[in-house]
Amino acid sequence: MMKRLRIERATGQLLVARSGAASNPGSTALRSSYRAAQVVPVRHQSSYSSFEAESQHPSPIYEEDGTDHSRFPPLEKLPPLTSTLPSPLPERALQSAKLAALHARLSLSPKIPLQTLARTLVDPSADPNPHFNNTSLAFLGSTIINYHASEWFMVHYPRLPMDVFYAAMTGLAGPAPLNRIAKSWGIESAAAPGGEVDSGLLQFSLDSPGESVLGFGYTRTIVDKINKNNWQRSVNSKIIYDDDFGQVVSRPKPKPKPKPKQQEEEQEPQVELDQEQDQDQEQDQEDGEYLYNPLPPKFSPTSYGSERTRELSEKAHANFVRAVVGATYAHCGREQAKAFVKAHVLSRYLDLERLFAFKHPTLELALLCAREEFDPPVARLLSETGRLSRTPVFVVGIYSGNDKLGEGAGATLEQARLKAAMHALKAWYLYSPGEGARVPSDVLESGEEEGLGKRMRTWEPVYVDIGELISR
Amino acid sequence: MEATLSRPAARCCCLLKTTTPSSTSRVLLLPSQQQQTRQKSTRARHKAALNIPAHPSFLSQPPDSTSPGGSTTLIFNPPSSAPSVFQTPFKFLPKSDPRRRATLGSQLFSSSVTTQFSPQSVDVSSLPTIFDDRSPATTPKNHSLTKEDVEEMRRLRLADPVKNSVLSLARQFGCSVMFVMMCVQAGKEHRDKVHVEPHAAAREKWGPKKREAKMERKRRMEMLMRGEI
Repeated sequence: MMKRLRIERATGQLLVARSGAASNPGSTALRSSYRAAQVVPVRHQSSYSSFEAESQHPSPIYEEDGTDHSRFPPLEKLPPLTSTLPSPLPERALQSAKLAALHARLSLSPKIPLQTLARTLVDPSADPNPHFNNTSLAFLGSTIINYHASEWFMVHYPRLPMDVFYAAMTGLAGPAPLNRIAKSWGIESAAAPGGEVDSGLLQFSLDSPGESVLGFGYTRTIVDKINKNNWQRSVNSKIIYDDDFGQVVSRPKPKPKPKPKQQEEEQEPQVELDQEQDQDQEQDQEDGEYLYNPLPPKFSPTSYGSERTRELSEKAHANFVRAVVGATYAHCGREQAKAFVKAHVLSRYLDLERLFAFKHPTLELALLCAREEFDPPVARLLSETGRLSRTPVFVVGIYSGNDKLGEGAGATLEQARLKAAMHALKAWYLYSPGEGARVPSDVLESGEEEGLGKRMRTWEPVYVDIGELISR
Repeated sequence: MEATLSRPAARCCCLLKTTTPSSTSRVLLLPSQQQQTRQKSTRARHKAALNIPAHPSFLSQPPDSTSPGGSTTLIFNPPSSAPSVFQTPFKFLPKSDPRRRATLGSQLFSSSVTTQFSPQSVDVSSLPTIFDDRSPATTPKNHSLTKEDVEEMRRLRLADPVKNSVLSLARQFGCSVMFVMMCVQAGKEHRDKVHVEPHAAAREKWGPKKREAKMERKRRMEMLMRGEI
């Protein structure tokens, strides 16, 4: 039996202050980025009151980013040194009107706190700290979305070839549709991430893609050659190695080596990350160094709207949607998450018919009829018009014995025959047991009434096809 | 022309204009010599021919429709359109499907063609087939070829691939073209000599128009295979 995972603990550090949060892989990289002129705020829910107390002090004239706040007062009152942080403090989520509006617009359950919703909007490219970005929630959400989407396809279209199945998964649950979903939710993105940004804006960086593990799959040893030479991959190897959408899992880029630390830092034991950061910042302040964001952002007129920025934006938006699903699962449970996925992802229309492309449709149909022990297919002319004219039309039907398998109209006999064969093949591949077919996760639902619950919990096996017609 | 085809009334006209219902199946397929071309002299005739009555489904009057309590009639005369791929043919339904078990099968998925313009069903075997020499149905089958036959086939093909072409070998041994190609492949030099070099030489002579037309044709075929046209 499977042990029940306590997923709700995954987001616990937002609500409960964790003292031992130093075991964090990005801590060394973070230290350099947190070096600012002054004390950096500790980002914990429990330290919120201390921030309010601190904010009573007169703020420095020159912020660490060089803004003269006496001349350009901030739009809202921020805790000191907020702009040194890579992402806004979780406490500020409660003051964000955008976030509250988003929460209401999505009809999210009140069990999901605004802090968690704010965290779903922080991409790993904005904040590399996995305790504050949405990586964990997005990973959880992607598994849930992909599970429900693949289950739905498996039950409703049991004969889909694997390539078409991958295309359908990409079309329904891939980054592009999730990006559109996020856009339809009215998500706006911040121009650049930072601690002073409104919590209700999606924050991602165009400079660094950020590291996030989002899916299962193996990195092939020849992945570089596949990408370089555009090698074909067999369907079997896609199933074994690649991710849920049949895409190659690329090798994680080697992490940039942490900058040489001062000797005393190396000897320090692993204490709490934030305290360590504080000490670092204080030392930097004494040295008068300014190391925050050492590389200026490489924005050029061409960097906006390029292929790469669009890709990064799409990825960030998609991860946000996944993270919202993950947050729903963590706070509200399985059924709510499934309802959310059903309402927002599975309800979208995808024209499965257009995902097919054939090479030799007549041959494939003949193979199909031979395998299923039907009579061999015969193309017969049903009707025609204008054979000698400029625009003739032929209507051809494909028959197996006396049964018509498909029909197609074309300008030549050959074209009509191919169309009829493709129609017959699509009719075979797109067989569906009907809209009301139950998916395996329906069994887990608890029915309201006793009788209903019993009926729902018994599982009748669905139709599973014997396999692909042509091994590709 | 497509518009003309898709008009049910025009089909009806086609039916009415010609002969009795007994020869319905032949009526649908006009032989090429009977293909009508429009000329100035035939304009009046064609115009008269296009003046067609409404579809019978619109004309049929139920006997007691005049009385206020009479039964209403449902007119079902949809415009012709390409069939949907989501309507699975009866033969493609798996054994476990409830649609197969239901008795509706014979009614919903009738084995004979019922076209819109001819309510009577047409015998399937009377419809002309489209010749395809690769199709297993249209090629004669000889499943009793022995190992020696295959060896002989290989020997002949490799000895003189020009004389013993795939088609001639298929006819000689009574098997399909595909089977011959599965058994033996001519050498690369023969393939180049027959299939590559002449075509390359011909391609050199193409002008820009022909090249463009060939490209268009290739592109159309790719679109067809993707189901875009």
